[in-house]
Amino acid sequence: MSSNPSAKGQLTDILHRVEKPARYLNGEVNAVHKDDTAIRFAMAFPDIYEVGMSHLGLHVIYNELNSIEDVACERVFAPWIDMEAIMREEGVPLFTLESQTEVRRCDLLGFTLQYEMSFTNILNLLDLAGVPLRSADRGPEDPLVVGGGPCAYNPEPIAEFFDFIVLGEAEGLLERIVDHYRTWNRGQESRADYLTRLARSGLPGLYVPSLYQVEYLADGRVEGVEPLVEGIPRRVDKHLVADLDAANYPVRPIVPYIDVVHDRAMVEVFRGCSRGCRFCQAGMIYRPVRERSPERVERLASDILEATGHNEVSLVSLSTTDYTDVEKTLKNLVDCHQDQAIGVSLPSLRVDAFSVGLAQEVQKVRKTGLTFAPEAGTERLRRVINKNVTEEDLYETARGAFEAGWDRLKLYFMIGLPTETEEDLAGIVRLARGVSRIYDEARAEGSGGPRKRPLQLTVSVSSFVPKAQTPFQWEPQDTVERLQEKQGSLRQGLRGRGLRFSWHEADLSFLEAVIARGDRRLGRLLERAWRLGARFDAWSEHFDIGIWMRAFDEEGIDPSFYANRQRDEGEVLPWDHLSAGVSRDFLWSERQQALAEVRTEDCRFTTCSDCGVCPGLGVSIDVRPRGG
Amino acid sequence: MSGRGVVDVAQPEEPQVIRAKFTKGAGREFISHLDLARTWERTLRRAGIRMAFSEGFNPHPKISFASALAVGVQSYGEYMDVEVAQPVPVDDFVSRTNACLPQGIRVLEARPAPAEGRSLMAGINAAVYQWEPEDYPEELSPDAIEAFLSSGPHQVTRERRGKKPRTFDVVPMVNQLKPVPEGEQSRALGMILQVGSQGTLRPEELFEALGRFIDKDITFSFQDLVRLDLLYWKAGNLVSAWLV
Repeated sequence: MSSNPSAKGQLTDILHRVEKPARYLNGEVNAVHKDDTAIRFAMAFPDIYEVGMSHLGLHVIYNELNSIEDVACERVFAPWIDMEAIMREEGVPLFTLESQTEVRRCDLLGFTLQYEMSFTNILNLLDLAGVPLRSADRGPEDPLVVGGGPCAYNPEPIAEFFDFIVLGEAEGLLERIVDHYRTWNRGQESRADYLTRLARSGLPGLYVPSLYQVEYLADGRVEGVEPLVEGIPRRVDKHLVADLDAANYPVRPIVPYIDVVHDRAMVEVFRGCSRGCRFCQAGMIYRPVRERSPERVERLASDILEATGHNEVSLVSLSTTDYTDVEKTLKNLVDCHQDQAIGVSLPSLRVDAFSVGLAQEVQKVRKTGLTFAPEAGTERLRRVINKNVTEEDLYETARGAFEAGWDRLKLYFMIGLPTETEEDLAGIVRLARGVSRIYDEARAEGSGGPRKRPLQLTVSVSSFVPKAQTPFQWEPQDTVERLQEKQGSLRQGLRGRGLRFSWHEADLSFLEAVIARGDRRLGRLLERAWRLGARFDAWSEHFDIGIWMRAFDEEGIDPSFYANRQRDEGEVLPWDHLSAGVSRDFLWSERQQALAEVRTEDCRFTTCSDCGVCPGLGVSIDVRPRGG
Repeated sequence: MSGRGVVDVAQPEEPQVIRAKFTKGAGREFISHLDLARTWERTLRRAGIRMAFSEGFNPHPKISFASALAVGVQSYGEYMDVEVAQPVPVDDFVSRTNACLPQGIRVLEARPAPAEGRSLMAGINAAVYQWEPEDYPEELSPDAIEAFLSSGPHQVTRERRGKKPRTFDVVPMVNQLKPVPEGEQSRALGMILQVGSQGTLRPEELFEALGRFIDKDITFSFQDLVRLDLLYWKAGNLVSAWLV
């Protein structure tokens, strides 16, 4: 398919008129350019360049697709407001970065579904590309529109905008999808027929929403979701990689010119997490835990550093301190790269002394802050959410950190969790004060070095958003008013020198809760909100709840039906036909355990908790000790 | 015990500073000065050039640049000094960095920096530009330019973030301004303007004053401008940046 010379000719001129023009430029180190290719795959991240380029998944997909000889995967990001205005004014269609090909001329158009608040950006990108919004309205020449990522586990609000959706992990599956695509003769087989054939192909994780009919009860709940044709799965199961060492890895990731959110070499040390926090969608949908071997991790780190020239390498996962060989791997990486001033970083730390020790190792090259996430203010509520940290753990950890010289700490909490009471809120304040007191003691004793200033403590509080495919998928979210009251009381309680309280907009969490557990009827809402001007909703300076409330009103949709309603055990949930492998029975029993304030142990360290993933998907937990 | 222990980063056995002259060509004019610095650090790492680092909590490589270039302007004459921890022959330096630089940025030449020299940033005080628009305004004749430079003051006002705007005369900051080629069919303007610690005259400010003088709006765009070189005042003469 041909590229678009008109976009090329105008581009330089346009770049002189926009903020951060490098967002729209190609030619970064390690970007892949292919001229003659059989298949052009536009890979869209529905946010700006700086956000998208920080996302490891994008590099994984880019590498996976470009390693196929006759496939060109090219990036697309959401143009910022200024660029969009110029594109609309001057009729410049959305183009890919690498070859400036018009997106609508590409064979496939992929969207990563990272967070609900990027959905209006997806509509905006389709529109800027000149691709009809709805699958049903697309013609034979339009690209096949595909989505994947965590929001694929409830894609119903955006289901009508996608031709197909992929559940699960990219490695090993994308090539099979592309190969299947090669069998489509656009001139002879209609799009609908091809999609039916694709859905019947037996490829794992493939969901073609148009082939499933949703029926509703009179009260608005879902009655059932039925396949419309024979030979497609009643329930779509995710695809996953059994052996991470054997999977491709982006060892030559693109090196951005501009400062992106996470500007460093990223090595994923394991996938999945079985800590079992009951609010956490990632902890459910990415199971089971599968580690990369320490040898492979170290090799990848060296290779990526050599290919990129980054001065920092980050060991990423949902909980890197849980990596079996974390201590030795970290030490080896620091030792190996420190003379070139290359730092190692850990994205998240467990609340324990071991983590402080690791942080100290990391600190040798570059100074970093410390962040811990107790999540809730009392041990009772932490038992409810299965975040098994005691108050003593937190104080001991903080003491260790202060004795080691830190004077800045960040604590993460959530409000609005199921069963939360005033006492739990007061617990957040008490923990923050307790940590400050421990610092003052350490300062008075002079341990950790002489200090002039008080502890710099940030208490960051988000509002709980119940997510699909979690034990709390049946639970109501607090109303906006209630969340705001709780934020107000915390603001009162968390005043003091060196103390900073930060929180998320309750309106935004409310909308996120609506969409996260929405059904197909929300497609109309998303389109309406987008037409009314909603985009970049994840950006507080652009988010406008007024637009959304108007859209709810005009579409006759009650948002509290989605956000604030308690579902009962028997209710058909809009995503029940989509599975991450964790059984619904397990999720419900975890919910019951939560209400009974009973812990569930991590299956890596004790017995199987019977979540259903391993037998259901034919895999097992895979931990990799050194030399193993 | 301190968590803020600092490890030894590479320090030179014998300090060697390499000065490199490089281009910032098509496509790369949109990379800001900060982005360019980061790009260089990564390039040198990929090229396996062992840099020397500052000491402290967050060690930085010892790289310094002569003068920031405005975003949107291409250049054939940018300079940088890099202190290396392991001596490297300058020819090697050129070939290894050129093999690793992104398209559009190229090292033209590298030399050892003068042992007794000053820092590039402090030394450089003039920039050579050429402005070549699609249609060269005939009002910008050699005579008109002569008249502009010998009259004045020609004031412009610069807005400054968080500070009061500053008004100043552009003429003393113009070292040279002449149509190229001189005579009837000029199609470009060559200029040498002051840059650096004593003050910088931006080309767009010069054109604002020029436009007012000839009483015609000049369509000035960075697309038509290119920086050719950077110079250094030494004993009353403008000399090459290599001598800083």
